This record gives sequence, C-alpha cells and structure tokens, in this order.
Amino acid sequence: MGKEVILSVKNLNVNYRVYEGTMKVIDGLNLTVNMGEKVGLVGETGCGKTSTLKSILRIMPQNCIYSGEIYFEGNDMMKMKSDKMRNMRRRNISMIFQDPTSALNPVFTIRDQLYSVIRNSIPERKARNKREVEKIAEKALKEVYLADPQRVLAGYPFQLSGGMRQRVCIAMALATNKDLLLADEPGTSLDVTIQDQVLRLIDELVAEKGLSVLLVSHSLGVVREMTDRIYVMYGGNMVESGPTKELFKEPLHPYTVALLDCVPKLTGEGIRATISGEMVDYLNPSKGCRFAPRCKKALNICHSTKPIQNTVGSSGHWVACHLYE
Amino acid sequence: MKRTLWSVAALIGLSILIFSLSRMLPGDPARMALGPRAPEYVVEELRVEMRLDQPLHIQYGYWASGVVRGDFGRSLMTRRAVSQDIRAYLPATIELVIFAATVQVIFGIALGVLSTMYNGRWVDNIIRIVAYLGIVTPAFVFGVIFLLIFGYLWPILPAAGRLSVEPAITGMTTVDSLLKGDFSSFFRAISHFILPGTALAMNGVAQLARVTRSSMVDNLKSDYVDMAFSQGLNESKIMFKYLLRPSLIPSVSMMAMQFAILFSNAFLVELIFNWPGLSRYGVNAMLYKDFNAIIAVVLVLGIVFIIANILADTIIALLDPRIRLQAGKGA
Ligand SMILES: Nc1ncnc2c1ncn2[C@@H]1O[C@H](COP(=O)(O)OP(=O)(O)OP(=O)(O)O)[C@@H](O)[C@H]1O
Ligand code: SF4
Ligand SMILES: [Mg+2]
Repeated sequence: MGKEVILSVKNLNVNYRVYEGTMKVIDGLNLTVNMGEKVGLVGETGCGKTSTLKSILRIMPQNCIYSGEIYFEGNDMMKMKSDKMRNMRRRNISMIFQDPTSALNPVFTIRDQLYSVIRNSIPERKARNKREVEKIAEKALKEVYLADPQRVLAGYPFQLSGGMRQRVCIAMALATNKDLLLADEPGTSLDVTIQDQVLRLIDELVAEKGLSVLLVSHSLGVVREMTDRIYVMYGGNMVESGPTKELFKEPLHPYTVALLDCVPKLTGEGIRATISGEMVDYLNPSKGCRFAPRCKKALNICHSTKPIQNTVGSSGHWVACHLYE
Repeated sequence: MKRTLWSVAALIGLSILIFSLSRMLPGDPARMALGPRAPEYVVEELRVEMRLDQPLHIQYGYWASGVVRGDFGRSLMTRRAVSQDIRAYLPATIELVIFAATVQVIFGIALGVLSTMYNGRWVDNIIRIVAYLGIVTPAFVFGVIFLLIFGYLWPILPAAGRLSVEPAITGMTTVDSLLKGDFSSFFRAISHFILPGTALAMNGVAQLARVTRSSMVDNLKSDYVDMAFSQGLNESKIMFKYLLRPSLIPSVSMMAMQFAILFSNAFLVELIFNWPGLSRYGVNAMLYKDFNAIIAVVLVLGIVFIIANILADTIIALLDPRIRLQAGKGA
C-alpha cells in the first residue's frame, strides 16, 4: 500500500508574544495526512488546534512567531513567496472556521462573499462569465442542502440561522475543487442534532469529491466515525496517534484515556467527566511532559525530561509517554 | 418620520432656550444699538419698537411668527435684516466647512488605512505620533502656522479673504463659478480654501485617522478577515472592501461630531484668514449683544447639526445592513 503524503508538518513551533512575555504554544509538532485520508486532531480547548490549522495556511495573527516545515505535495509552504502561497489557498486547501457566525462578513451579502470566493478560485476566463459563477454558487448551496439558494444568496449573515450559516461556510470551502480540507470543529457552536447533520454532510461531500481531510475536534466521540486516523494533542504537543479503531480499542497515553472517559457512553447516565487540573501555562511550560501536573501516573522523570514517541505494534500507533519507554 | 418630528421639537426647544437666555442677559440692547449719547426718549422709542417692554412669551410669539416667515428681525450691528446677513455669510462658512470636512474624510481615512497596512511598523508609528500632535494642537495654531509659512515665508497660496464671484447665485464661490462654466475662477476659488480649510481640518484628520485605524486593527483580528485571507483573496480587496467597510462605522459617527466642532473652530480660522463667514459674524454678534443675530445664528447652526446627524445615520445605515434592515422592521 504505497501511501502518498499530501500534507506533512515537521517540527512546527508557534509562539505568541503577549504583554506578559512569550507564550510557547505549539512545541515541535509533527503531523502527516495521506492522500485521500481522513485524519482527526483532538484535544481540549486551548491546546493549539486552531493555531495548527492557521499555521498550515499561514494566516497567523501579528503577534505570532512560528517556524517549522510544512510540505504540501512535497513543496515547503513555509518558504513559499506570498503570491504562490495565495495560489495554494485559492486552488488547493480550504478551511472551515470554528465559528461560522464570526467567519462571515457581517456587512456583505452571502452572494457577494460566495461569488468572490468562487471567482477567485476558478480560471480567470471562467470567472468573468457571470452565468458560470452563478451556476457554481447555486450548485454549492444545493450540495449543502440549502433549500432556497436564491433567498440565501440575497441575505446577510444575520438573517440566517446558525445551521444555515454553517452550511454556507461549508459551501464556500467546497464550492470549487480543492485537495485538502481543514475543518475546525464544524458544528460545535450548534445544538447536537444539527452538529451531527453537519458532520454527516461534510463526510458525504468529502467522499464525493475525494478530498483529504484534517478534522479538528475537542471530542474523541465526534471524530470516531469520520476518521481513519487520529492525533491526540495536549498543550501544544502530540501525545498519541494511531488508526482510529486501534486508538479506541487500546488507548495508551493517560491523557487519551482521560479524554475517552469524557465521551458519553451509551449505557452511562450522560454525565461527562472532565479532566481535573489546570491547562498548561504556556508562558512557563515545564521542561518535562506537559501533562505531568495533571497526570495520575506521573513518574519523577516526567517532570524533567520530555517523553519521546514510542511505536507500539505495527499499525503506526505511537505514544509519547515515559510509561511506555 | 419620527426623526423629523424630533428634530422640529429640538429646534423649537433650542429657540425658546436661546431666546430666553438672550433676553435675560444684563445690558440693554436698545441702548447698545443707539450708543451712550442718544437721548433717553429715543432709546425708549426703540425699546417699544423692539417690543422689549412686553412680557417674554409675547416677545417670543412675535419673534417666532416672524421666523416662520423667514424674518429674524433686524441686526443691531449691521442694521440690515438678519436673514439678509445670514444669506451673505452662511455660504462662505458652509463652503469652508464642507471643504474642511472633505479634506478630513479623504486624508483621515487614507491615513487610517495606511496606518493599518503598516500596523506596528515605522509608517504606522509616525502616523500615530503625528495624529497625537494633530489632536492636541488647536485649529487656530495651525491657522497661524500656515499663515506664517505660506502667507509670508513662501507665499504660494492666497492667505487672506475669499474670491468673489459675480453674480452670486448660491453665494458659494466654487458652485457659482461652476454654474457660470468659469473653470479658472473655480480653481482660484479652491486655492483660497486651501490654507483656512486645511488648518480647520487638521484636528479632524487626526481624530479620524485614529478612529479608523483602531477600528480597522480590531477587525483585522476578526475571523472574517482571517477567512478572507484563507480563501486566497487578494490583499487589497480584503483591505479596501472586506475590512474597510465594516470598520468605517465608528468613523462616520465621529465625522458627524466633527462637523459640529468644525463650525465652532471656524470662528478663529475665519478671523485669522479674514474669511467673511457666519462663525465670525456670530461671535461679533455676541460681543455686540445683537440678540436677533445671535438667535438666528444659533438656530441655523442647530439646523445644520441636525442635517449632519441625519446624513451620518443614513450613511451608517447604508454601510451596515443590520441597522438598515432591522430599523425598517422596528418603526
Ligand atoms: N493571537 C493570540 N495571541 C495570544 N495568544 C493566543 C493567540 N491565539 C491563540 N492564543 C493562545 O494559544 C493557545 C491555543 O489557542 P488555539 O486557538 O490554537 O486553541 P484551540 O485548541 O483551537 O482551542 P479551542 O478548542 O478553544 O478552539 C490558547 O491558550 C490561546 O489563548
Ligand atoms: S510522560 Fe509521565 S506525566 Fe506524561 S503522560 Fe506519561 S506518565 Fe503522565
Ligand atoms: Mg480552536
């Protein structure tokens, strides 16, 4: 099985300069997505999921300092000139933002925003043809099951429901042919049934269009059905990764185990356990395992030395934890 | 509709207030008008003619019924009908203020955008420092400095007075010269505006640059701008369309306020540049206790402010669909 890599992130570091000093958020992160693969990136709030996605597209805020290598189909995007990078965003990679309400411009119609994305991503000769652009827009809105495309197009974001806004954002991301989809917690801001519909919709469209996907979520339960492989992230570090089935069958890292306890079980009373303890202090992160202050199994070495990745078995499952060295 | 009624009510309130105040001030306008050497019986006659011997509400009634017919009474200072004076002086000030406001909008917003594009770099820092200076320096100081530099040291621009264009159709030199199709007069008229108009505009340029910058820099961090970049839209389209439009809303509110400030600052600038405008007329009227003129000037300015605010609200509604479409539902 010759797996072709579409995206590979190597040794990514992301720091934010803030008033109190420098927050060292993402710390030497590695990640790959193979062609046609659906990969989940899971971790609790603030662990750096959005930062990772934004670094891939190089749309970081001003106070951010980042370094590393990010290869898309073999080309290092970190070294690309800005116009070449722009072309990648136009033609190859799409991102669905975490909050569809704030991701849509409040003072322009959906038509304006959707058309400008479409015009920007298709060949110029086609972009000048108004009928063509209209056709693509209508098709994109139908694909996300928006029943009345004309009404949606004429409206402003504030006139649509949360679920409709989310669908519009998906339509924007998938209106033209792309290779890789970065989906940042799609549907989290919506209620559970609609979130479920949204995820199914993305799953369906991705399969239809043959995209590779990096799907971000704070919950393992959400990515379970949709992904082939999962990365578990804690405090800016990857702590465990493996095929989805195997990770659920045999979670190794204490953090992954704790995360799985948060997934509501069918038999359970629906009470979600949360992991006790505080988030990582990014201003002064510990030299050892970043999970150590909250880990019930922590050893002495955990506080002083960073664990390395230990491969377990032959399916590509690995874990970064001193317990498995 | 509701707004128009409110505006009318505000104007009536303003007229009652200013009328009563002017009548309650110490000093006898009839005596002031005739001078200290006029015999007492002549002063008394004028007092009766001006109805100063009647109760306040009667005086107001007479005055208000005149105003409705466009009659503000006679000015003690110029001895002409106040309405005639206003017709003579208002166009000059309106023209100056509109010129200044245009300078403010163009340069204030341009500097704000530039500052945002170079956010955190030296261009931005220089603009911000200059803007601080621009805010703390009063308009008349700019006036004096401009007058010194361009009037005396390097006289390339007209430093005093205003072009007169005959026949005066609207009283605004630029409009009249254009109506006549006389472009050379038009450009000469404009050249007379540059020094006083720019001096008057400076504070507002600085304020507007600051407001525009801070609102743009805030929105630069927004998800919708991130998303526009993630879609690979080109930078100038994002800056000038998707970022600028939502960011302009505070700038427009600021401009409405600036418009009022322009009229009050216009006084010293008109004095420095010998500009025959309404602000100068109004202040002279106050010094002279020329009540009819004072009240008329205040009322005219009140009307101008109301128009400026309605204009600002209209522009904001155009910029922001949330206001435009929801206001329609509410009223
Ligand atoms: N522009 C910024 N300036 C300073 N700190 C930032 C900035 N952006 C993010 N951070 C910090 O970096 C950390 C990671 O943020 P990020 O948004 O990547 O997390 P996340 O995993 O996406 O969380 P969530 O699930 O809440 O979306 C957080 O602690 C956040 O406070
Ligand atoms: S390395 Fe140590 S502290 Fe970190 S997860 Fe493993 S046992 Fe816990
Ligand atoms: Mg996030």
